[in-house]
Amino acid sequence: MTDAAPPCATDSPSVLMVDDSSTARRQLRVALESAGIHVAEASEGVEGLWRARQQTFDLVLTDIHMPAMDGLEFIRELRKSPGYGQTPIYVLTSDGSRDRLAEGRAAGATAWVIKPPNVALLVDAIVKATARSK
Amino acid sequence: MGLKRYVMLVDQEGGPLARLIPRLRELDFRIVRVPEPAPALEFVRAFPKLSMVAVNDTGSPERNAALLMGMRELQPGLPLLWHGPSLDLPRPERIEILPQESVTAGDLVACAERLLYQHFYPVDFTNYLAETALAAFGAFGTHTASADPFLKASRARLAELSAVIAFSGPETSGHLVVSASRRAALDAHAQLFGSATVPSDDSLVDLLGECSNRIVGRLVSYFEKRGRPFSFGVPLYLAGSQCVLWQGANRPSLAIEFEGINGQLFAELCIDAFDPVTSHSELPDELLHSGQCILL
Repeated sequence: MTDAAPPCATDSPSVLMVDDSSTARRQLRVALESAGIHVAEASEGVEGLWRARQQTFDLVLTDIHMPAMDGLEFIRELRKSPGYGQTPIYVLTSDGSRDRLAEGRAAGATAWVIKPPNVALLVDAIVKATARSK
Repeated sequence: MGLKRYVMLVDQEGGPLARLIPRLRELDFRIVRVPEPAPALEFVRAFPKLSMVAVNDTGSPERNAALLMGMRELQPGLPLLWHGPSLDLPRPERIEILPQESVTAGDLVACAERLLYQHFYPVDFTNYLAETALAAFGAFGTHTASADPFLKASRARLAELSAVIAFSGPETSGHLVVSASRRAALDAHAQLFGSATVPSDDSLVDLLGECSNRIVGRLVSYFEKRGRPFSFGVPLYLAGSQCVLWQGANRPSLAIEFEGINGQLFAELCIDAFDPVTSHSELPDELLHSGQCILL
């Protein structure tokens, strides 16, 4: 299980990041936190659902290829969870398959971002998306 | 002739091309040696699935030219390695020419490997894989200067730490391995996260796993565009120099060594069916770009 999220300042966006790679999580966490975004981590879908039920996040970032529960299944389950019907869910993946992208759309993802992300654009998107959802 | 791959050597017994035999056997090729041009041409005519032909000087410039051009006519895509004096051919392209003098066994083997990997994995695909891997490594702070492709058929791993991702689809399946020496992995980790603490093996192979994930993610686009979609799984990790990797596919891997760093870094790809002809595509090879955000 990954570390718990730090306590959030009330007006800072909070993001749940679900990725089985500790390298990818750590790399992005450093970048997002330096932009004032609070980040909680989960290493696969089941843990991600558990985190999402402990705390409501403004935006969710998820990988697709993960053990136990993959990203698509995680998105479907998260969409059924109270409070997550409209939450922006960004897929962050290296998978450039058009078929997979269509599956992501059907599962309820909001956007599909190809790794490595452009951090400045991602931060901008997170801030805008969370402002809209508040 | 079953699933074995064949290389024909047109040379006398004990001739200079015999120096290729140990490496070809290591790569699991079956070797056909034919001493005379006429039966060599007959063999090429009768057996269109040759992987390569290496030809030694027959002693007659006319016979040399007739043999090489005859083979080229019978099989335009057949990789040909010529070992002998310079040739005056109407279409010398696609013939790897090694001058007879001062050629070492290493030169011969390197030349044969270059032709053979191009036969299994086309040059444009090899370049795509190398560029994709360079970009993936670069995103993790490892900027390598160059890439050197070669064929690999042994079970030995290329370096101490490895991450493996398997992929499969209706027409394409295989695996990708990213291997690094501990020193190269430690350097990459330090580039990303600093060197205040010594990372565990778990952290090092996770980094290699994420690199391999990004490479395979790009390969999905490449093959999907060619009508061969596939899915891939999560990385598996191997640490330790004694551990081997059993390669089930009936063909050698394309391995690329990345140079210009401290330590060793390799990407190794094995695809069990890759037809260079049907894999051709006129579409650009990047469907989705790194960092691209698509609103769904």
